Amino acid sequence: MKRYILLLRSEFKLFLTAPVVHLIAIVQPTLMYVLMSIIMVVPTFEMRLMNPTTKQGENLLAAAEQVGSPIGPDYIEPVLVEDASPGHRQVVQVVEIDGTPTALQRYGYIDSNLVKNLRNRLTAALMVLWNNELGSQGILIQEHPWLPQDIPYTVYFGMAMIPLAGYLAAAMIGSYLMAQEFENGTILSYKLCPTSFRLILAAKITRLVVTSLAAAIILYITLGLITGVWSTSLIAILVILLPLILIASCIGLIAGMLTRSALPSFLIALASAFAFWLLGSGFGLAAGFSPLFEIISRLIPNTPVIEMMFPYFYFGKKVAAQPLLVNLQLTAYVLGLLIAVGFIYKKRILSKER
Amino acid sequence: MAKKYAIEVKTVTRKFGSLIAVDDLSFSVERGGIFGLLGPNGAGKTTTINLILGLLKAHQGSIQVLEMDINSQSRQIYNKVGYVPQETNLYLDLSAIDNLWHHAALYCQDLSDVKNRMEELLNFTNLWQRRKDPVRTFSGGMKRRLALARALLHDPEVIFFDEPTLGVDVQGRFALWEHIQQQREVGKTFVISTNNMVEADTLCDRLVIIDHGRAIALDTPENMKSAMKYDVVSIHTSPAITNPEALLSDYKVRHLTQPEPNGLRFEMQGADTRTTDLINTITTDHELNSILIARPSLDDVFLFHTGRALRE
Repeated sequence: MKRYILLLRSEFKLFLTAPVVHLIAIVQPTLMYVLMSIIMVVPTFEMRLMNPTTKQGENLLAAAEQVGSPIGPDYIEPVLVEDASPGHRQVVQVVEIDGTPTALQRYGYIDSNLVKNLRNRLTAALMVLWNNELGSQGILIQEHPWLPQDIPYTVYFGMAMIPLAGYLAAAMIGSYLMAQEFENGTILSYKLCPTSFRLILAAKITRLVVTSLAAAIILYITLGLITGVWSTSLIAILVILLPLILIASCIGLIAGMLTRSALPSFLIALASAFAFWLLGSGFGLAAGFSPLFEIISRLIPNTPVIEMMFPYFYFGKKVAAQPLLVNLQLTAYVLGLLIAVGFIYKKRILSKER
Repeated sequence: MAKKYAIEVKTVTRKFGSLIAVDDLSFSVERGGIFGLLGPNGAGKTTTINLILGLLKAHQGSIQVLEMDINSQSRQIYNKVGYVPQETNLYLDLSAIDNLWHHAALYCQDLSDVKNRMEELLNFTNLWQRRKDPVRTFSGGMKRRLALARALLHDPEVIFFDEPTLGVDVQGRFALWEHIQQQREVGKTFVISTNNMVEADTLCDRLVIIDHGRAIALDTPENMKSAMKYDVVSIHTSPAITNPEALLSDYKVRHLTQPEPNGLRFEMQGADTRTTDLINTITTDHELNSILIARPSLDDVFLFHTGRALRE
């Protein structure tokens, strides 16, 4: 245990060998989030119909205000809960409500996506105008939240960046430090040391996990400060992040050992982090996209992590895939990669040059 | 009872493609001494150390370190050997003491007394005052001394030191030599590789001269030089000696060269006993400005075996 603590201490000291890389890896996602949330969160922006010159324009503006639309540009495609008909005509069902036949059109309530929300509200505003003309024959507009508890997009975006923050820190720092050992010749100390490679790897991975969790917590706090939304359980979020960070640590160490060069390994870590983020529900839960994308997305570890995080975050309501399967999937990834790291360490560091 | 030899290298060959880097090399290193691998750059010295340490696989032959086979017992061997490579592989951004802590975590079996040992070694290498400074701020000699302290930290029996004073100034060189000799006094075995004849001559109890991967001589430096039987004579006359072969025909001389117009250099058997005769012969027709009779150096040994100087 004493040796493990000493190894861990040494690993943390290696921060001094690459402070800039640490800074980039730890702070970059938080900085990205701050900048992007400032760009995205525009409470109002000018609409063409702000100062209408025609009667119809004035009516549309009034209707838009009536349905609570944030005033924006003229989006035209509404997001409907039902699929569009083959001719791309919008489906309007006639149902009985309180004994009255009512034309019903369901829209996704998409406060989670400001753009979609704008166009939905604008369409709704047009419907209101139409209803005014139709009188009692008007169409009933219903909003159907996609998630049980709808997620403001700035919150979703930030939450989906927490796995990115964890992944990026682990992969980038892990790959860079490992590659640097080869570049500076310090890997020789590892080649000739009598200590078990499992213990050495355990210390390296532990250090990466701790650093990455710190990066995730920094983003989490920033998210909370910006949106005012805090998780019901930070511990739960950190536990959920753990497998992803272990995966990232392994990928980073493998990249460093295979390339033996700091720049390529750094780029591999960076590219994989952003690829995982984009494909892994970075901009919306996988279920909200096409079936093919959902399948691909569910293979990326970020997706199950995000899906597990949100039920905890959203008052315990489940929107995720089967937790058991998700956990098995992540466990398999982690075990597979840990074995791979050990194997590659033996091949690239401990084995004799033939 | 421990065997006499710390290292036994038997008929070892190592190739890199078509290049034979180490060719049928055999030698033994006695415990508690300083053994040198002497040869020009590219002779195969570092490859030999890498083979002994198990970093490279020998294509032929066997290597035993402390009676253990390097192929099958490398981890046990690593407990008992230290290595200072040619490129001092220190963490330049860490302090001296942090470098030692890193090494301790990887190498020291007994961690209870490691702090005291660090202090002792940093004092021994005169680095205690600078222990908290980043290694980046150290001179070349200080880095080599720190690397030596690090290699000694886990109290190894055998220390490999690749080019101990490469890039180190004169003062630093003497300090390092002193440190190595002091460690020999406490029973450590050193294997050093060098292309510096003075270093090999000063430090080594025994050495092997390597050229193109082959051992061309293996003995103590003293025996190697004595075996030459010729002394090196350098004279300066006016006017210049025009026909030195005729003038020195009564003496057993060889390798006559004229390094400068009025100078003459040659190897002569029994020069120390026939100095007066030699001076008389030369001063018959020439004014002798200077004469220097020197014992053969290791460079002369190398020249004798290979036909070219070690420094070439």
